[in-house]
Amino acid sequence: MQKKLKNLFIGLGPGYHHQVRIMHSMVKEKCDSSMLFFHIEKNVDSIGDDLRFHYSMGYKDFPKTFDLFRDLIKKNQFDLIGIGFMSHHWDIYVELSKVIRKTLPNCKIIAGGVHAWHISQSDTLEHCDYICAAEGEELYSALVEHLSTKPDVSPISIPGLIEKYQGKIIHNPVKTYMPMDQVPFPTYGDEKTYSINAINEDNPILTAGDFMVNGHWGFVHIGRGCVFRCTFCINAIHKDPTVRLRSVDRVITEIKYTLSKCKNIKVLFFEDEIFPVRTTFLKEFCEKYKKEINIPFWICLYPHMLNEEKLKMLKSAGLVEITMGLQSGSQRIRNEIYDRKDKNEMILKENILLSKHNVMTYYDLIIRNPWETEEDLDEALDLINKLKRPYYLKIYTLAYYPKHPITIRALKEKKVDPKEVDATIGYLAVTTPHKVLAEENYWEDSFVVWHNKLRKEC
Amino acid sequence: MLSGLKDEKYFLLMAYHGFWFIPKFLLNFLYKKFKKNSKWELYVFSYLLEKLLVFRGYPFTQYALIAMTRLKQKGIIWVVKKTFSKATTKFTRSMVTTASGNASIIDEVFYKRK
Repeated sequence: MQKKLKNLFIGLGPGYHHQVRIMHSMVKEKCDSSMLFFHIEKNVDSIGDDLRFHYSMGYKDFPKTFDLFRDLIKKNQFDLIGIGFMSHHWDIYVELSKVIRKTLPNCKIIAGGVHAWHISQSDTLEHCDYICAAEGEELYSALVEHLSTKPDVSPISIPGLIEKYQGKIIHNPVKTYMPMDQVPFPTYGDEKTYSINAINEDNPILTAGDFMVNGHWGFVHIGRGCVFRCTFCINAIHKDPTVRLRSVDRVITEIKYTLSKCKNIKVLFFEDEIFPVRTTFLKEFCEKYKKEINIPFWICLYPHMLNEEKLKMLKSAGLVEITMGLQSGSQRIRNEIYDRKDKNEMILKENILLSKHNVMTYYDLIIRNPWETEEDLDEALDLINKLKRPYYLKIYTLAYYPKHPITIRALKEKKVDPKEVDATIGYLAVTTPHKVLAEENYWEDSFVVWHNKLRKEC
Repeated sequence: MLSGLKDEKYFLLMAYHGFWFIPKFLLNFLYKKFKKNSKWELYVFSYLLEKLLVFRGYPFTQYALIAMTRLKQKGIIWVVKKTFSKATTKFTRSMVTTASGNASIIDEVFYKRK
Protein backbone atom coordinates (compact mmCIF):
# COMPACT_ATOMS: atom_id res chain seq x y z
CA MET A 1 0.00 0.00 0.00
CA GLN A 2 1.30 3.43 -0.94
CA LYS A 3 2.45 5.55 2.00
CA LYS A 4 0.24 8.59 2.50
CA LEU A 5 1.83 12.00 1.97
CA LYS A 6 2.51 13.72 5.29
CA ASN A 7 1.30 17.28 5.31
CA LEU A 8 1.53 20.05 7.90
CA PHE A 9 -0.36 23.34 7.90
CA ILE A 10 1.20 26.09 9.97
CA GLY A 11 -0.89 28.98 11.25
CA LEU A 12 1.13 31.88 12.62
CA GLY A 13 0.09 34.11 15.49
CA PRO A 14 -2.62 33.89 18.11
CA GLY A 15 -5.73 33.78 15.89
CA TYR A 16 -8.39 31.15 15.37
CA HIS A 17 -6.80 30.13 12.01
CA HIS A 18 -10.02 29.69 10.09
CA GLN A 19 -8.38 29.19 6.68
CA VAL A 20 -5.88 26.63 7.97
CA ARG A 21 -8.77 24.65 9.44
CA ILE A 22 -10.75 24.74 6.18
CA MET A 23 -7.73 23.63 4.13
CA HIS A 24 -7.13 20.82 6.61
CA SER A 25 -10.75 19.69 6.15
CA MET A 26 -10.22 19.72 2.40
CA VAL A 27 -7.19 17.41 2.37
CA LYS A 28 -7.37 15.28 5.52
CA GLU A 29 -8.90 12.32 3.67
CA LYS A 30 -6.29 12.47 0.93
CA CYS A 31 -3.17 12.63 3.07
CA ASP A 32 -1.90 12.38 6.62
CA SER A 33 -2.49 16.00 7.55
CA SER A 34 -1.72 17.90 10.78
CA MET A 35 -2.12 21.48 11.95
CA LEU A 36 0.36 23.48 13.98
CA PHE A 37 -0.44 26.87 15.51
CA PHE A 38 2.86 28.62 16.11
CA HIS A 39 2.82 31.71 18.26
CA ILE A 40 5.71 33.75 19.55
CA GLU A 41 4.85 36.83 21.54
CA LYS A 42 7.56 39.35 22.26
CA ASN A 43 7.58 41.69 25.23
CA VAL A 44 6.76 45.23 24.18
CA ASP A 45 9.80 47.27 25.14
CA SER A 46 8.44 50.69 24.30
CA ILE A 47 6.38 52.71 21.87
CA GLY A 48 8.54 54.88 19.66
CA ASP A 49 8.01 58.37 18.28
CA ASP A 50 6.45 56.65 15.28
CA LEU A 51 3.75 55.29 17.63
CA ARG A 52 4.70 51.72 16.82
CA PHE A 53 5.67 48.93 19.16
CA HIS A 54 9.39 48.39 19.68
CA TYR A 55 10.67 45.15 21.08
CA SER A 56 13.84 44.36 22.94
CA MET A 57 13.64 40.82 21.50
CA GLY A 58 13.76 39.52 17.93
CA TYR A 59 12.77 36.08 16.63
CA LYS A 60 16.44 35.12 16.79
CA ASP A 61 16.11 35.35 20.58
CA PHE A 62 13.85 32.29 20.55
CA PRO A 63 16.30 29.45 19.71
CA LYS A 64 14.63 26.89 21.99
CA THR A 65 11.27 27.59 20.37
CA PHE A 66 12.62 27.02 16.87
CA ASP A 67 14.50 23.93 18.10
CA LEU A 68 11.22 22.53 19.37
CA PHE A 69 9.68 23.18 15.95
CA ARG A 70 12.69 21.48 14.32
CA ASP A 71 12.31 18.40 16.51
CA LEU A 72 8.59 18.24 15.83
CA ILE A 73 8.96 18.24 12.05
CA LYS A 74 11.96 15.91 12.20
CA LYS A 75 10.01 13.36 14.19
CA ASN A 76 7.09 13.53 11.78
CA GLN A 77 9.10 13.68 8.52
CA PHE A 78 6.58 15.84 6.68
CA ASP A 79 6.57 15.82 2.86
CA LEU A 80 4.67 19.08 2.42
CA ILE A 81 4.34 22.10 4.68
CA GLY A 82 1.96 24.97 4.03
CA ILE A 83 2.56 28.30 5.76
CA GLY A 84 -0.04 31.00 5.51
CA PHE A 85 1.20 34.34 6.77
CA MET A 86 0.39 38.02 6.98
CA SER A 87 2.80 40.84 6.19
CA HIS A 88 3.88 41.39 9.79
CA HIS A 89 4.76 37.69 10.11
CA TRP A 90 7.37 37.90 7.35
CA ASP A 91 10.37 37.43 9.68
CA ILE A 92 8.90 34.39 11.32
CA TYR A 93 8.01 32.85 7.96
CA VAL A 94 11.65 33.21 6.87
CA GLU A 95 12.94 31.65 10.11
CA LEU A 96 10.57 28.69 9.89
CA SER A 97 11.41 28.09 6.24
CA LYS A 98 15.12 28.01 7.05
CA VAL A 99 14.52 25.43 9.77
CA ILE A 100 12.43 23.29 7.39
CA ARG A 101 15.03 23.48 4.59
CA LYS A 102 17.80 22.44 6.96
CA THR A 103 15.88 19.67 8.72
CA LEU A 104 13.84 18.20 5.85
CA PRO A 105 15.60 19.10 2.58
CA ASN A 106 13.10 17.10 0.49
CA CYS A 107 10.03 18.60 2.08
CA LYS A 108 8.11 20.94 -0.23
CA ILE A 109 7.05 24.31 1.18
CA ILE A 110 4.08 26.29 -0.06
CA ALA A 111 3.41 29.83 1.15
CA GLY A 112 0.02 31.51 1.11
CA GLY A 113 -1.50 34.89 1.82
CA VAL A 114 -1.64 38.20 -0.01
CA HIS A 115 1.85 39.21 1.11
CA ALA A 116 3.26 36.06 -0.47
CA TRP A 117 1.58 36.37 -3.85
CA HIS A 118 1.17 40.11 -4.29
CA ILE A 119 3.50 42.13 -2.12
CA SER A 120 6.72 40.22 -2.02
CA GLN A 121 6.46 37.36 -4.45
CA SER A 122 10.08 36.87 -5.49
CA ASP A 123 11.40 37.26 -1.93
CA THR A 124 8.80 34.77 -0.71
CA LEU A 125 9.79 32.27 -3.40
CA GLU A 126 13.40 32.35 -2.17
CA HIS A 127 12.21 30.52 0.94
CA CYS A 128 9.63 28.14 -0.52
CA ASP A 129 8.81 25.99 -3.56
CA TYR A 130 5.36 27.27 -4.39
CA ILE A 131 3.05 30.18 -3.67
CA CYS A 132 -0.68 29.82 -3.47
CA ALA A 133 -2.04 32.84 -5.37
CA ALA A 134 -5.70 31.96 -5.16
CA GLU A 135 -8.28 30.69 -2.72
CA GLY A 136 -6.40 27.68 -1.46
CA GLU A 137 -8.86 24.81 -1.02
CA GLU A 138 -8.88 23.30 -4.51
CA LEU A 139 -5.30 24.32 -5.23
CA TYR A 140 -3.92 22.64 -2.12
CA SER A 141 -6.03 19.57 -2.71
CA ALA A 142 -4.69 19.27 -6.27
CA LEU A 143 -1.13 19.80 -5.01
CA VAL A 144 -1.51 16.99 -2.46
CA GLU A 145 -2.84 14.68 -5.20
CA HIS A 146 0.02 15.60 -7.51
CA LEU A 147 2.76 15.14 -4.91
CA SER A 148 1.20 11.84 -3.80
CA THR A 149 1.05 10.35 -7.28
CA LYS A 150 3.69 11.97 -9.49
CA PRO A 151 6.06 13.96 -7.29
CA ASP A 152 8.79 14.14 -9.93
CA VAL A 153 6.66 15.67 -12.67
CA SER A 154 6.97 19.43 -13.11
CA PRO A 155 5.75 22.03 -13.80
CA ILE A 156 2.65 21.13 -11.84
CA SER A 157 0.42 23.69 -13.57
CA ILE A 158 -2.36 23.90 -11.01
CA PRO A 159 -4.60 26.97 -11.47
CA GLY A 160 -3.49 29.75 -9.12
CA LEU A 161 -0.12 28.16 -8.29
CA ILE A 162 3.11 30.10 -8.66
CA GLU A 163 6.04 27.73 -9.11
CA LYS A 164 9.67 27.70 -10.11
CA TYR A 165 10.53 25.78 -13.25
CA GLN A 166 13.86 25.72 -15.09
CA GLY A 167 15.00 28.98 -13.50
CA LYS A 168 11.76 30.79 -14.34
CA ILE A 169 8.73 31.69 -12.28
CA ILE A 170 5.49 30.33 -13.71
CA HIS A 171 2.15 31.91 -12.82
CA ASN A 172 -0.72 29.55 -13.52
CA PRO A 173 -3.89 31.57 -14.17
CA VAL A 174 -6.61 31.40 -11.54
CA LYS A 175 -9.79 29.57 -12.54
CA THR A 176 -13.31 30.20 -11.25
CA TYR A 177 -13.51 29.36 -7.57
CA MET A 178 -15.64 26.57 -6.18
CA PRO A 179 -19.17 27.57 -5.08
CA MET A 180 -19.09 28.88 -1.53
CA ASP A 181 -21.55 26.24 -0.30
CA GLN A 182 -19.10 23.54 -1.34
CA VAL A 183 -16.27 24.93 0.79
CA PRO A 184 -15.86 22.49 3.69
CA PHE A 185 -16.38 23.46 7.31
CA PRO A 186 -13.27 24.30 9.35
CA THR A 187 -11.95 21.38 11.40
CA TYR A 188 -12.20 21.59 15.19
CA GLY A 189 -10.93 19.09 17.70
CA ASP A 190 -8.79 17.06 15.31
CA GLU A 191 -6.32 14.92 17.20
CA LYS A 192 -3.50 16.00 14.91
CA THR A 193 -3.55 19.58 16.11
CA TYR A 194 -0.55 21.05 17.88
CA SER A 195 0.39 24.41 19.31
CA ILE A 196 3.79 25.86 20.10
CA ASN A 197 3.56 28.96 22.26
CA ALA A 198 6.40 31.09 23.53
CA ILE A 199 5.05 34.08 25.39
CA ASN A 200 7.52 36.87 26.15
CA GLU A 201 10.40 34.45 26.77
CA ASP A 202 12.13 31.58 25.01
CA ASN A 203 10.42 28.96 27.10
CA PRO A 204 8.20 27.20 24.55
CA ILE A 205 5.25 25.03 25.41
CA LEU A 206 4.12 22.36 22.99
CA THR A 207 0.57 21.12 23.38
CA ALA A 208 -1.44 18.56 21.48
CA GLY A 209 -5.13 19.13 20.96
CA ASP A 210 -7.18 22.00 19.73
CA PHE A 211 -7.34 25.05 21.99
CA MET A 212 -10.59 26.14 20.34
CA VAL A 213 -12.46 23.13 21.70
CA ASN A 214 -12.50 24.57 25.21
CA GLY A 215 -12.80 28.21 24.13
CA HIS A 216 -15.73 30.47 24.90
CA TRP A 217 -15.59 32.26 21.54
CA GLY A 218 -16.55 30.84 18.16
CA PHE A 219 -15.76 32.31 14.76
CA VAL A 220 -17.79 32.13 11.57
CA HIS A 221 -17.43 33.55 8.07
CA ILE A 222 -20.63 33.91 6.07
CA GLY A 223 -18.78 34.75 2.88
CA ARG A 224 -15.57 36.12 1.41
CA GLY A 225 -14.51 39.47 -0.01
CA CYS A 226 -15.40 43.12 0.41
CA VAL A 227 -16.96 45.55 -2.05
CA PHE A 228 -15.13 48.56 -0.63
CA ARG A 229 -11.64 49.67 -1.60
CA CYS A 230 -10.37 51.63 1.40
CA THR A 231 -6.87 52.73 0.52
CA PHE A 232 -5.21 51.38 3.69
CA CYS A 233 -6.76 47.92 3.30
CA ILE A 234 -5.45 44.91 1.43
CA ASN A 235 -8.86 44.50 -0.24
CA ALA A 236 -8.06 47.64 -2.25
CA ILE A 237 -5.65 45.70 -4.45
CA HIS A 238 -8.48 43.77 -6.10
CA LYS A 239 -9.42 45.32 -9.42
CA ASP A 240 -12.93 43.95 -9.31
CA PRO A 241 -13.97 43.60 -5.68
CA THR A 242 -16.78 41.12 -5.15
CA VAL A 243 -18.41 39.38 -2.23
CA ARG A 244 -19.32 35.69 -2.34
CA LEU A 245 -21.83 34.53 0.23
CA ARG A 246 -22.91 31.14 1.49
CA SER A 247 -26.54 30.21 1.90
CA VAL A 248 -28.16 30.78 5.27
CA ASP A 249 -28.77 27.03 5.68
CA ARG A 250 -25.11 26.26 5.07
CA VAL A 251 -24.01 28.86 7.64
CA ILE A 252 -26.47 27.56 10.25
CA THR A 253 -25.30 23.98 9.63
CA GLU A 254 -21.67 25.04 10.11
CA ILE A 255 -22.51 26.82 13.36
CA LYS A 256 -24.27 23.69 14.64
CA TYR A 257 -21.23 21.60 13.71
CA THR A 258 -18.91 24.09 15.46
CA LEU A 259 -21.05 24.10 18.59
CA SER A 260 -21.08 20.30 18.63
CA LYS A 261 -17.26 20.29 18.66
CA CYS A 262 -16.64 23.35 20.83
CA LYS A 263 -19.18 22.94 23.59
CA ASN A 264 -18.15 25.92 25.71
CA ILE A 265 -18.83 28.62 23.12
CA LYS A 266 -20.78 31.48 24.65
CA VAL A 267 -20.55 34.07 21.87
CA LEU A 268 -20.06 33.92 18.10
CA PHE A 269 -18.04 36.35 16.04
CA PHE A 270 -19.01 36.80 12.41
CA GLU A 271 -15.66 37.69 10.95
CA ASP A 272 -16.76 38.90 7.51
CA GLU A 273 -15.25 42.25 6.55
CA ILE A 274 -18.84 43.48 6.20
CA PHE A 275 -21.71 41.45 7.60
CA PRO A 276 -24.33 40.98 4.86
CA VAL A 277 -27.31 43.20 5.67
CA ARG A 278 -29.29 42.82 2.44
CA THR A 279 -32.90 42.63 3.66
CA THR A 280 -33.78 39.25 2.12
CA PHE A 281 -30.64 37.59 3.51
CA LEU A 282 -30.91 39.27 6.88
CA LYS A 283 -34.54 38.30 7.41
CA GLU A 284 -33.93 34.63 6.66
CA PHE A 285 -30.67 34.59 8.67
CA CYS A 286 -32.10 36.25 11.77
CA GLU A 287 -35.16 34.02 11.85
CA LYS A 288 -33.19 30.80 11.49
CA TYR A 289 -30.37 31.91 13.79
CA LYS A 290 -32.80 32.78 16.58
CA LYS A 291 -34.71 29.54 16.18
CA GLU A 292 -31.80 27.14 15.77
CA ILE A 293 -28.73 28.74 17.41
CA ASN A 294 -29.82 31.52 19.78
CA ILE A 295 -26.52 32.59 21.32
CA PRO A 296 -25.15 36.16 21.38
CA PHE A 297 -23.08 37.28 18.40
CA TRP A 298 -20.81 40.08 17.16
CA ILE A 299 -20.54 41.46 13.63
CA CYS A 300 -18.40 43.93 11.62
CA LEU A 301 -20.03 46.66 9.57
CA TYR A 302 -19.28 49.63 7.38
CA PRO A 303 -20.89 52.85 8.70
CA HIS A 304 -24.49 53.68 7.86
CA MET A 305 -25.56 50.33 6.47
CA LEU A 306 -28.22 49.91 9.14
CA ASN A 307 -31.72 51.20 9.57
CA GLU A 308 -33.99 50.64 12.55
CA GLU A 309 -35.78 47.68 10.98
CA LYS A 310 -32.52 45.84 10.27
CA LEU A 311 -31.14 46.65 13.69
CA LYS A 312 -34.26 45.30 15.38
CA MET A 313 -33.96 42.07 13.40
CA LEU A 314 -30.31 41.66 14.38
CA LYS A 315 -30.92 42.58 17.99
CA SER A 316 -33.77 40.11 18.31
CA ALA A 317 -31.54 37.37 16.87
CA GLY A 318 -28.89 38.03 19.54
CA LEU A 319 -26.65 40.86 18.31
CA VAL A 320 -24.63 42.29 21.20
CA GLU A 321 -21.76 44.14 19.57
CA ILE A 322 -20.77 45.74 16.28
CA THR A 323 -17.27 46.57 15.11
CA MET A 324 -17.50 49.65 12.93
CA GLY A 325 -14.65 51.05 10.86
CA LEU A 326 -14.96 54.78 11.54
CA GLN A 327 -11.24 55.27 10.70
CA SER A 328 -11.35 59.05 11.10
CA GLY A 329 -13.80 61.53 12.53
CA SER A 330 -12.94 63.84 9.67
CA GLN A 331 -15.20 63.36 6.68
CA ARG A 332 -12.58 64.92 4.39
CA ILE A 333 -9.96 62.38 5.45
CA ARG A 334 -12.34 59.48 4.97
CA ASN A 335 -13.56 60.68 1.58
CA GLU A 336 -10.37 62.06 0.06
CA ILE A 337 -7.64 59.96 1.63
CA TYR A 338 -9.26 56.65 2.52
CA ASP A 339 -11.66 56.54 -0.46
CA ARG A 340 -14.68 55.95 1.76
CA LYS A 341 -18.00 57.57 0.95
CA ASP A 342 -19.63 57.91 4.36
CA LYS A 343 -20.85 61.13 5.99
CA ASN A 344 -20.55 62.34 9.60
CA GLU A 345 -24.22 63.24 9.70
CA MET A 346 -25.21 59.68 8.83
CA ILE A 347 -22.72 58.20 11.30
CA LEU A 348 -24.31 60.20 14.09
CA LYS A 349 -27.82 59.15 13.05
CA GLU A 350 -26.78 55.51 13.06
CA ASN A 351 -25.06 55.95 16.42
CA ILE A 352 -28.31 57.25 17.92
CA LEU A 353 -30.06 54.10 16.71
CA LEU A 354 -27.34 51.83 18.11
CA SER A 355 -27.47 53.65 21.42
CA LYS A 356 -31.27 53.44 21.52
CA HIS A 357 -31.10 49.66 21.09
CA ASN A 358 -28.16 49.39 23.49
CA VAL A 359 -25.82 47.71 20.99
CA MET A 360 -22.19 48.06 22.08
CA THR A 361 -20.26 49.58 19.17
CA TYR A 362 -16.55 49.35 18.76
CA TYR A 363 -15.27 52.14 16.53
CA ASP A 364 -11.93 51.73 14.77
CA LEU A 365 -9.88 54.92 14.52
CA ILE A 366 -6.65 55.47 12.62
CA ILE A 367 -4.33 58.16 13.98
CA ARG A 368 -1.09 59.80 12.84
CA ASN A 369 -2.30 60.32 9.31
CA PRO A 370 0.11 62.76 7.63
CA TRP A 371 -2.69 64.34 5.58
CA GLU A 372 -4.61 65.27 8.73
CA THR A 373 -4.66 68.99 9.60
CA GLU A 374 -5.64 70.64 12.87
CA GLU A 375 -9.08 71.35 11.38
CA ASP A 376 -9.48 67.65 10.63
CA LEU A 377 -8.58 66.71 14.20
CA ASP A 378 -11.00 69.33 15.53
CA GLU A 379 -13.75 67.87 13.38
CA ALA A 380 -12.86 64.36 14.54
CA LEU A 381 -12.95 65.37 18.20
CA ASP A 382 -16.31 67.08 17.70
CA LEU A 383 -17.76 63.95 16.14
CA ILE A 384 -16.48 61.66 18.87
CA ASN A 385 -17.78 63.98 21.56
CA LYS A 386 -21.24 63.73 19.99
CA LEU A 387 -21.29 59.91 19.92
CA LYS A 388 -23.70 58.31 22.35
CA ARG A 389 -22.77 55.40 24.55
CA PRO A 390 -22.33 52.44 24.71
CA TYR A 391 -19.19 52.36 22.58
CA TYR A 392 -15.47 51.98 22.90
CA LEU A 393 -12.56 52.73 20.61
CA LYS A 394 -9.78 50.78 18.98
CA ILE A 395 -7.01 53.12 17.96
CA TYR A 396 -4.51 52.20 15.26
CA THR A 397 -1.42 54.02 14.09
CA LEU A 398 -1.51 54.35 10.31
CA ALA A 399 0.79 51.63 8.95
CA TYR A 400 2.41 51.78 5.54
CA TYR A 401 2.13 48.29 4.13
CA PRO A 402 4.02 47.80 0.87
CA LYS A 403 2.04 48.16 -2.37
CA HIS A 404 -1.14 49.38 -0.66
CA PRO A 405 -2.76 52.40 -2.37
CA ILE A 406 -2.22 54.73 0.59
CA THR A 407 1.47 53.79 0.76
CA ILE A 408 1.94 54.40 -2.95
CA ARG A 409 0.35 57.83 -2.56
CA ALA A 410 2.31 58.70 0.60
CA LEU A 411 5.58 57.81 -1.11
CA LYS A 412 4.65 59.81 -4.20
CA GLU A 413 3.73 62.86 -2.13
CA LYS A 414 6.75 62.36 0.15
CA LYS A 415 4.57 62.02 3.22
CA VAL A 416 6.48 59.02 4.48
CA ASP A 417 10.09 57.95 4.66
CA PRO A 418 10.54 54.85 2.43
CA LYS A 419 12.23 53.18 5.42
CA GLU A 420 8.88 53.20 7.18
CA VAL A 421 7.27 51.15 4.44
CA ASP A 422 7.92 47.94 6.25
CA ALA A 423 5.21 45.62 7.44
CA THR A 424 7.38 44.17 10.19
CA ILE A 425 7.63 47.47 12.06
CA GLY A 426 5.52 46.94 15.18
CA TYR A 427 1.88 47.18 14.27
CA LEU A 428 0.11 49.17 16.96
CA ALA A 429 -3.52 48.87 17.92
CA VAL A 430 -4.78 49.75 21.39
CA THR A 431 -8.26 49.39 22.78
CA THR A 432 -9.90 51.46 25.47
CA PRO A 433 -11.10 49.18 28.27
CA HIS A 434 -14.15 47.08 27.45
CA LYS A 435 -16.68 47.00 30.27
CA VAL A 436 -17.60 43.32 30.01
CA LEU A 437 -14.02 42.16 29.49
CA ALA A 438 -12.73 44.35 32.32
CA GLU A 439 -15.38 42.86 34.61
CA GLU A 440 -13.92 39.49 33.69
CA ASN A 441 -10.48 40.98 34.46
CA TYR A 442 -9.18 41.01 30.92
CA TRP A 443 -6.83 43.99 30.91
CA GLU A 444 -4.83 45.21 27.94
CA ASP A 445 -1.40 46.37 29.10
CA SER A 446 -0.48 47.95 25.77
CA PHE A 447 -3.05 50.70 26.29
CA VAL A 448 -1.20 51.78 29.44
CA VAL A 449 2.13 51.95 27.55
CA TRP A 450 0.44 53.90 24.75
CA HIS A 451 -1.20 56.31 27.19
CA ASN A 452 2.09 56.92 28.95
CA LYS A 453 3.83 57.67 25.64
CA LEU A 454 1.18 60.13 24.50
CA ARG A 455 0.98 61.86 27.85
CA LYS A 456 4.71 62.47 27.88
CA GLU A 457 4.55 63.89 24.34
CA CYS A 458 1.82 66.40 25.28
CA MET B 1 7.74 60.32 9.13
CA LEU B 2 8.49 63.44 7.11
CA SER B 3 5.26 65.24 7.75
CA GLY B 4 2.00 64.84 9.59
CA LEU B 5 0.46 66.25 12.67
CA LYS B 6 1.73 64.85 15.96
CA ASP B 7 -0.77 66.50 18.22
CA GLU B 8 -1.12 63.81 20.87
CA LYS B 9 -3.55 65.87 23.00
CA TYR B 10 -6.29 65.26 20.46
CA PHE B 11 -5.67 61.52 20.46
CA LEU B 12 -5.70 61.36 24.26
CA LEU B 13 -8.96 63.24 24.55
CA MET B 14 -10.54 61.13 21.79
CA ALA B 15 -9.40 57.95 23.57
CA TYR B 16 -10.94 59.08 26.87
CA HIS B 17 -14.32 59.18 25.16
CA GLY B 18 -14.01 55.41 24.71
CA PHE B 19 -13.71 54.78 28.48
CA TRP B 20 -17.07 53.67 29.83
CA PHE B 21 -16.13 54.58 33.39
CA ILE B 22 -15.30 58.23 32.74
CA PRO B 23 -18.54 60.18 33.32
CA LYS B 24 -19.87 62.03 30.30
CA PHE B 25 -20.06 65.35 32.20
CA LEU B 26 -16.33 65.12 32.92
CA LEU B 27 -15.57 64.44 29.24
CA ASN B 28 -17.74 67.37 28.23
CA PHE B 29 -15.89 69.58 30.70
CA LEU B 30 -12.49 68.51 29.32
CA TYR B 31 -13.76 68.90 25.75
CA LYS B 32 -15.07 72.44 26.34
CA LYS B 33 -11.87 73.53 28.06
CA PHE B 34 -9.82 71.97 25.29
CA LYS B 35 -11.79 73.84 22.64
CA LYS B 36 -11.16 77.06 24.55
CA ASN B 37 -7.46 76.29 24.36
CA SER B 38 -7.09 75.57 28.06
CA LYS B 39 -5.13 72.33 28.27
CA TRP B 40 -4.01 72.04 31.89
CA GLU B 41 -7.24 70.30 32.91
CA LEU B 42 -6.50 67.57 30.40
CA TYR B 43 -2.92 67.22 31.67
CA VAL B 44 -4.02 66.85 35.29
CA PHE B 45 -6.71 64.37 34.33
CA SER B 46 -4.36 62.28 32.20
CA TYR B 47 -1.79 62.22 35.04
CA LEU B 48 -4.37 60.90 37.51
CA LEU B 49 -5.78 58.40 35.04
CA GLU B 50 -2.32 57.09 34.34
CA LYS B 51 -1.74 56.36 38.02
CA LEU B 52 -5.01 54.41 38.06
CA LEU B 53 -4.13 52.47 34.89
CA VAL B 54 -0.69 51.56 36.19
CA PHE B 55 -2.11 50.40 39.53
CA ARG B 56 -4.80 48.37 37.75
CA GLY B 57 -2.10 46.74 35.61
CA TYR B 58 0.10 45.45 38.47
CA PRO B 59 0.10 41.62 38.54
CA PHE B 60 -0.81 41.71 42.23
CA THR B 61 -3.85 43.92 41.55
CA GLN B 62 -4.88 41.73 38.61
CA TYR B 63 -4.65 38.50 40.62
CA ALA B 64 -6.50 40.06 43.54
CA LEU B 65 -9.32 41.27 41.28
CA ILE B 66 -9.57 37.94 39.49
CA ALA B 67 -9.71 36.13 42.83
CA MET B 68 -12.46 38.49 44.05
CA THR B 69 -14.51 38.03 40.88
CA ARG B 70 -14.24 34.24 41.04
CA LEU B 71 -15.00 34.31 44.76
CA LYS B 72 -18.31 35.98 43.98
CA GLN B 73 -19.01 33.70 41.01
CA LYS B 74 -17.82 30.31 42.21
CA GLY B 75 -17.08 30.40 45.95
CA ILE B 76 -14.07 29.97 48.21
CA ILE B 77 -13.46 26.24 47.58
CA TRP B 78 -13.17 26.79 43.84
CA VAL B 79 -10.73 29.71 44.35
CA VAL B 80 -8.50 27.70 46.72
CA LYS B 81 -8.47 24.69 44.36
CA LYS B 82 -7.69 26.88 41.33
CA THR B 83 -4.88 28.72 43.12
CA PHE B 84 -3.33 25.40 44.17
CA SER B 85 -3.69 23.94 40.66
CA LYS B 86 -2.12 27.05 39.03
CA ALA B 87 0.83 26.91 41.42
CA THR B 88 1.47 23.19 40.86
CA THR B 89 1.05 23.44 37.05
CA LYS B 90 3.60 26.21 36.95
CA PHE B 91 6.01 24.15 39.05
CA THR B 92 5.65 20.89 37.06
CA ARG B 93 5.81 22.70 33.71
CA SER B 94 9.13 24.30 34.59
CA MET B 95 10.37 20.86 35.69
CA VAL B 96 9.52 19.33 32.30
CA THR B 97 11.12 22.03 30.23
CA THR B 98 14.31 22.15 32.23
CA ALA B 99 14.79 18.50 33.18
CA SER B 100 14.10 16.91 29.81
CA GLY B 101 14.96 17.79 26.25
CA ASN B 102 12.58 18.61 23.41
CA ALA B 103 12.42 15.01 22.24
CA SER B 104 10.92 13.77 25.47
CA ILE B 105 8.45 16.67 25.55
CA ILE B 106 7.34 15.75 22.04
CA ASP B 107 7.02 12.10 23.07
CA GLU B 108 5.00 13.11 26.06
CA VAL B 109 2.65 15.24 23.98
CA PHE B 110 2.22 12.52 21.36
CA TYR B 111 1.70 9.94 24.07
CA LYS B 112 -1.04 12.07 25.64
CA ARG B 113 -2.70 12.45 22.26
CA LYS B 114 -2.90 8.68 21.79
